[in-house]
Amino acid sequence: MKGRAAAWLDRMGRWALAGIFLYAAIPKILDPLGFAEDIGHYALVPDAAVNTLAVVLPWIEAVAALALLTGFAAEGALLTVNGLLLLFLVALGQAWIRGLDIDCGCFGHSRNGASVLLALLRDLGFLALGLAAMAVRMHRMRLQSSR
Amino acid sequence: MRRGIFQTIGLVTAGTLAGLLFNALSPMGLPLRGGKEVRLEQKGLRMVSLEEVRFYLDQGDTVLLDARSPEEYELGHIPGALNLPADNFEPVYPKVAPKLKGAALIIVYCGGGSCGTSEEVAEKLIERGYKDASLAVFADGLPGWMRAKLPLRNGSQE
Repeated sequence: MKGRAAAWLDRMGRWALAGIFLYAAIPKILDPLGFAEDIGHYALVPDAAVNTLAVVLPWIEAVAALALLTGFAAEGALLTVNGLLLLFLVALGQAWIRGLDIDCGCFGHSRNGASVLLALLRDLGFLALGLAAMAVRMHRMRLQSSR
Repeated sequence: MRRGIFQTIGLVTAGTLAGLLFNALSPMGLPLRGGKEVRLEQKGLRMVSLEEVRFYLDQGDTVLLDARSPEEYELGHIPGALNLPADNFEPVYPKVAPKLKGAALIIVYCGGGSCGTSEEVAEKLIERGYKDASLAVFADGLPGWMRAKLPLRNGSQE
């Protein structure tokens, strides 16, 4: 892959991920109580930690999305979103295995959200995009350092 | 790679601080300490324990609502509970509503732990004009009742 193509793919990948994460973060920032309920339904973290997680997690998503959008600390932002997607995959996977009939809370609190299985498959797609974006970024950095 | 890890730590720290600051300044802010009980309180609902459920049921003017599906209800429910499924609220509510009239307290339960349907039903009842003071959620739900080895009843709602 040549330098210009790598730069274009890098930018497109980062912007797509930034859009997804901003779209996911904003409703959760605006309704922390709803998001806390959604986290609580996963029964994965101690109840006392649920509110803190609901307050902090959407902001980490938003900060990472802004970094992806601007290109500032892009490698760290790609690592962060891939880490978050892995975390969500584990949460959704255990909910699916346990047969929990819950709203995924992925894009904010909704009583008619996607099923856990659908959210799991969607998350896998996002993770594939995230890993591809990271691979392109590393390739681009290698190209730059070899010049 | 090392640079990426340092950047990740910086971004996570920045997000955490921004979240905590926004929460402290926002009117929608959540209390960081406290769990489900605090969240229910924020929605104007109160949580009752198994002992309280048993106490209120003994008073006679309390109605117990099972927010699970009719199939789950049929397999086993708390004796005396009426089935008002969250997923099928609108069609079932008119059948249950006459029995809710005059109740001093309505306690809603579901499958405990990870289920949120009892809260959903309680919120829908508030939207229908029921006062928050007359509504409570039994968060331990049916598993909490079964853990105490209390009797169950099966069969569908008449």
